Amino acid sequence: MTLIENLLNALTPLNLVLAIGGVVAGTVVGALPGLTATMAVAVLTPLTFTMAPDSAMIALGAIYTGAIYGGCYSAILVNTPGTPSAIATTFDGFPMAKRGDGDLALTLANLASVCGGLVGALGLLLLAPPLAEVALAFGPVEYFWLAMLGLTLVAGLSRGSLVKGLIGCAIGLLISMVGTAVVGGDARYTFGTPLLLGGINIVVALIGLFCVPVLIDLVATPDEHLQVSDEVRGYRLREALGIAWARRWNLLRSSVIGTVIGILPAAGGAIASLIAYGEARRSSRTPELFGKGAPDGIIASESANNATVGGGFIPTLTLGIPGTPADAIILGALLVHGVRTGPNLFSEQSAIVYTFMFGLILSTVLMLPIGLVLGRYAYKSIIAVPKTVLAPAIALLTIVGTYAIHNSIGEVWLMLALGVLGWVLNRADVPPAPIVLGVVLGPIAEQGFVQAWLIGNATQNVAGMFFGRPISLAIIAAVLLVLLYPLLSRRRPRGSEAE
Amino acid sequence: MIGRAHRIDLALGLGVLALCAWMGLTARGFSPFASIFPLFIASVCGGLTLLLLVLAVLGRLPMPPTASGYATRRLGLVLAMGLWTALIPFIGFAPASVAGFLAVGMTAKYEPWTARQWLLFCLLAIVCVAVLTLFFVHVLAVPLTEGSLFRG
Amino acid sequence: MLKKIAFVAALAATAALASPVVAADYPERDVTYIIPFNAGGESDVTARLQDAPFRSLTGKGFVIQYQPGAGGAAAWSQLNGLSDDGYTIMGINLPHLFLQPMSGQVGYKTEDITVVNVFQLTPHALLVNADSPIKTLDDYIAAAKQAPGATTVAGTGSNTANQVAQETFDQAAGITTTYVPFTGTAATTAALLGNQVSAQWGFTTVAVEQADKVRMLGVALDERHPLFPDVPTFKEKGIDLVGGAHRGVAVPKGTPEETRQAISDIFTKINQDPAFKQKMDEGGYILLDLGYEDMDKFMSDLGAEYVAVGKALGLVK
Repeated sequence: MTLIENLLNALTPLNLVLAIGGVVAGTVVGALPGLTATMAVAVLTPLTFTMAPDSAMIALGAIYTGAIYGGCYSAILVNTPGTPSAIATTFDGFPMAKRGDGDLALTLANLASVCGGLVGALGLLLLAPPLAEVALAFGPVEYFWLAMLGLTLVAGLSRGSLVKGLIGCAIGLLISMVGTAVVGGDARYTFGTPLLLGGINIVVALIGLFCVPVLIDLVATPDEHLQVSDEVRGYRLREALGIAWARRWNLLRSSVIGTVIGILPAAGGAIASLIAYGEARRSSRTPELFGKGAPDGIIASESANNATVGGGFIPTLTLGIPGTPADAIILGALLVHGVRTGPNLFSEQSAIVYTFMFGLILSTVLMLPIGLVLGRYAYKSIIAVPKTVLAPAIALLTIVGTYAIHNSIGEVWLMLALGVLGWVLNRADVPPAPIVLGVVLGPIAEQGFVQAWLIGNATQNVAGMFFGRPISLAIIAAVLLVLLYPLLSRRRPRGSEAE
Repeated sequence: MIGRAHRIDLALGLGVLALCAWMGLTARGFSPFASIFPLFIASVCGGLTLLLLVLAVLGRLPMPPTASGYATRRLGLVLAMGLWTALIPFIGFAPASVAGFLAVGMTAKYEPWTARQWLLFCLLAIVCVAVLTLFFVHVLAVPLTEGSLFRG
Repeated sequence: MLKKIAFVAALAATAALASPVVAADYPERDVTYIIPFNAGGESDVTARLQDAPFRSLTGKGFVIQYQPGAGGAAAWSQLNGLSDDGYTIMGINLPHLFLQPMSGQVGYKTEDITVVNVFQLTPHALLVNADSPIKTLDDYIAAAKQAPGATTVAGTGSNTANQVAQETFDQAAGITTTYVPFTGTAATTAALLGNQVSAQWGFTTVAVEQADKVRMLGVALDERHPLFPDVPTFKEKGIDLVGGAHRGVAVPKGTPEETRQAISDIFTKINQDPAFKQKMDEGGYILLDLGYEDMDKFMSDLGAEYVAVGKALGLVK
C-alpha cells in the first residue's frame, strides 16, 4: 500500500466514526476527576477486540488523545487535574476561570492540545526510528536526574515559596515509598495492612490532594465557584487564535519538548508539561504573570502533554517498549491483534502502522471541533449548576473514581485522609502539585537512584556514574538553574531582559 | 509567637520534622537497598524543614493565605463524605451514594428551599447516582458493591 | 413494597447461584479474570488470547480486571475474600507464590492460594545486546570471572524468577554478577537495549520480541527450544538451571470441588485450541498440561525446590 492509500484507509467511514467516537469517549473520561487517561484506555480496550487491527489502533489512539486532552477540563474548571499530565494546567487555568475567563482558557487549551498532538504525531510519522534511539540513551541515572528536575520545577513553579514547594515534593516522595520496595522487596511503612502493601495509588493521591480540598473550600462560602461575565460570548475562538498566534514560539517549543519527553519510557505527560511550563516562564518577558492566569502557561502545559501521545508511540511502535503507561496497554492490545511491534513493524506491517499514524493525526484534528463543543458544554454546566449540586456531584465522582480502581473501600478512606491532609498543608502554603508529583515521580526517582548506584558500584565508579554522563550533566545544570532561579530573578531587573 | 514566625509555619515545620524523624528511624530496619532512598529523602526533608523554621523565625516567609468561609461547613463536608464512605460496605454503593449526595448538598446549602426545590434535589441525587452507577457497572464493567446488608 | 420484593428476589437469586448445580452447566455467565499486574503485561496478553478459545468453548467470555501492586501480592492476599461461586478467577505466577511469603509479611501464605491449573511456562534465558562483545555463554562466564561483580545483569523485580535464575546460575558457574532490578519487562529490556547493563536475565519471550536486537546465550530447558535451535541449554554446559516463570489460575478458597475441576478442564482445553497454541508457540511460550488433578503434587514438588533454592541462596530468611 502506498502512503496515499494508507491515508485514504484512515479516512474510511468506519475509521472516521471510530476516531470521532474515540475522541469523544476519551475526552469525557479524561475530564472526570478520578478517571485517568490510562484508565480510559484500559477499560475501552476490550471493545476494540472485535475490530480489524488498524481500526482498533485508530480507536485506541483516538481515545488516548482525547483522554489526555480531557484532563484540562477539570483542571481549569475545578482545579483538579483530570490526569497527572494536566497538573501544570491548573496553575494558570483555574485562576483564569476564577476571574471569568474560563471559556477562553478552555479554547486555548484546546488549540494548544491540537497543535501539540499534531507535532507529536508528525514526529512519529516522519522521525520515529531515529528518535527511538533517544529513548535508549536514557539510563537509570538520567531518569533519576529527570525526576529531580521535574520535582524542582514543580516546587519552583507552584504558588508559595521554593522551600515549601520542596518540602511538598519530599512529602510526596515519602508517600510514594509506602508499599513494597522495588529493590529488596521489603514492605515499607505498611503497618502490616494488605491495603498499603501495593502502595498509595497515584489516582488516590491525585484526587485526595487536589479535589477534596477544593470541595472543602467550595462548600465553605455561598459565593459563586467561578466568576462569570455578563455578556454572552461564544467560544472566543478568534480571541484565542490571536493569543495563540502571538505566542507561537512557546507553542512550538512546548510541543517539541512534549514529543521528546514522551519518547522516554515511563516519563509521560506530567514531566513534559512541567518542563515546558518552566521553560515558558523562564523565557517569558512577563514571568510574574505565570501562576495568576497567564495564557502562556496553559499553552505550554497543554501542548506538551498532548505531544507526549505521539512521542510516546515512537518507542512503543519501534522498539516494543511503551513510552507511557497507556502505551503499555495499547501494546498488549496490539499483541492480541497479532500486530508485532519492533523493528519489523515498519517494513512488514507498514500498512497498519501508517494507517494508524494518519488516524492519529486525524483524531488530533478532530479534537478541535469536538473539544470546542464539549468544552462549551462543560463550561456551561459548571457555571450553571448551583453549588448544592456541584459539590455532591464532584464528591460522587471522587468516591466512585477511587473505589472503582480496586473495589477497595480502604482506598476511599485513604483518599479522604489525604484530602484532609492536603487541605491542612494547603493552608500552610504547601500546594498540592508538588506533593502529587512527588508521589508520581517517587518510584522513578528511587529506582533510578538505586539502579544507578548498583551499576556504578559494580564498575567501582559511583560518582562518575551519577555525575559523569553527558545527558545527566545537562539535566543537572537545568536542576541547578531552577533552584537558583528565585535568587537570579530578584537580581535581574524586570523587563530589560531581551529574548 | 517565636520571632516573626507565623503559627502555622511553625506547626508545619515541627509536624514535618516529626514525620521525617519517624520515617528515617523506621527505615533503618529495612534491608540495605530498600533503606537508602527513604533515609536520603528523610534527611533532605529534615534539612529543608530546619531551613523553613529558620526562615519563618526571621520573618522571611510570605503570609500564608487566609481562609474565608465557615469552618463548620468545612467540617460538615468531611464528616458527610466520611459517613458516605462508611455506609458503602453496609447498604451498598448506590444507596450510600444517594444518602451521601444529599448530605454533601446540605453542607453547601445557604438559602431556604421551596418544597419543589427539595423534591428536585432529591430526584437529581437519585438520577446522578443511578446514571453513574450504571455507567460504571455496565459500560466499564466495574462491579460496585451491593452491601453486606443485602448479601445472605 | 417494591423494595421488599426486590430484596427477596435478590436473596433467591443469590441462593440459586450458590447451589452446586452450577458446576454442571458452568459457566452460565461471563467469568471475571483478575490479573495481578498492570494492563499490557504478559499475563494480560495471555489472558486476552485465552478469551477467544474460552468463548468458542463455553459461549461466555472473560471480564478482565487488573489489580496490580506489590509484584502480585496485593491481589493474591485478597483472593480468598472474593466471591467463591466460580465466577471469579485470578492469574497466578510462580515462583512469586513461593518466594514472596518466604521473604516476609506479604499478606498471604502459599498454602492459602488454591491453584487449579498451571498452563504455561516461560523458560529462563540469558540475553545480551546484539552488539555485545560477549558471543557465547563461555564468554559470559569468562568475563564475569575476570572482574567479579562488574558484570551488571538486569532483571524484573526482586525475589522473582529472574533473580532466582541469576543466583542459581552464578552459584553453579562459580561467578559473581550484580543483579539490577527494574519494574516490568519493558524497562528491563530497554536497559539492555540501551547498553545500560551488560546482560539481562529474562525469558524466551523477550528474545522472540526483540529478534535481532538481542542475542540469547542460553535457555533453561532440558532440550533446546524449538524456535532457537542454535542456542544451548544451560544443562549442556554443565549448569543445572531448568525452569522459568509459570503462569496459571487460582480460585478463592471456598469454590466447590466440581467447579474447580470444571475451570481446570476448560483451561486445559484452551491450551489445545490450534490458533491459541500457534500464537503461544510463536511467542516463545511453552504450554503445559497441569490440571487440578496434578496440582497438589506439582505444587509440593516445585515448592520444595524453591524452598531449597530460597534458603540456600540467602534470598529469603
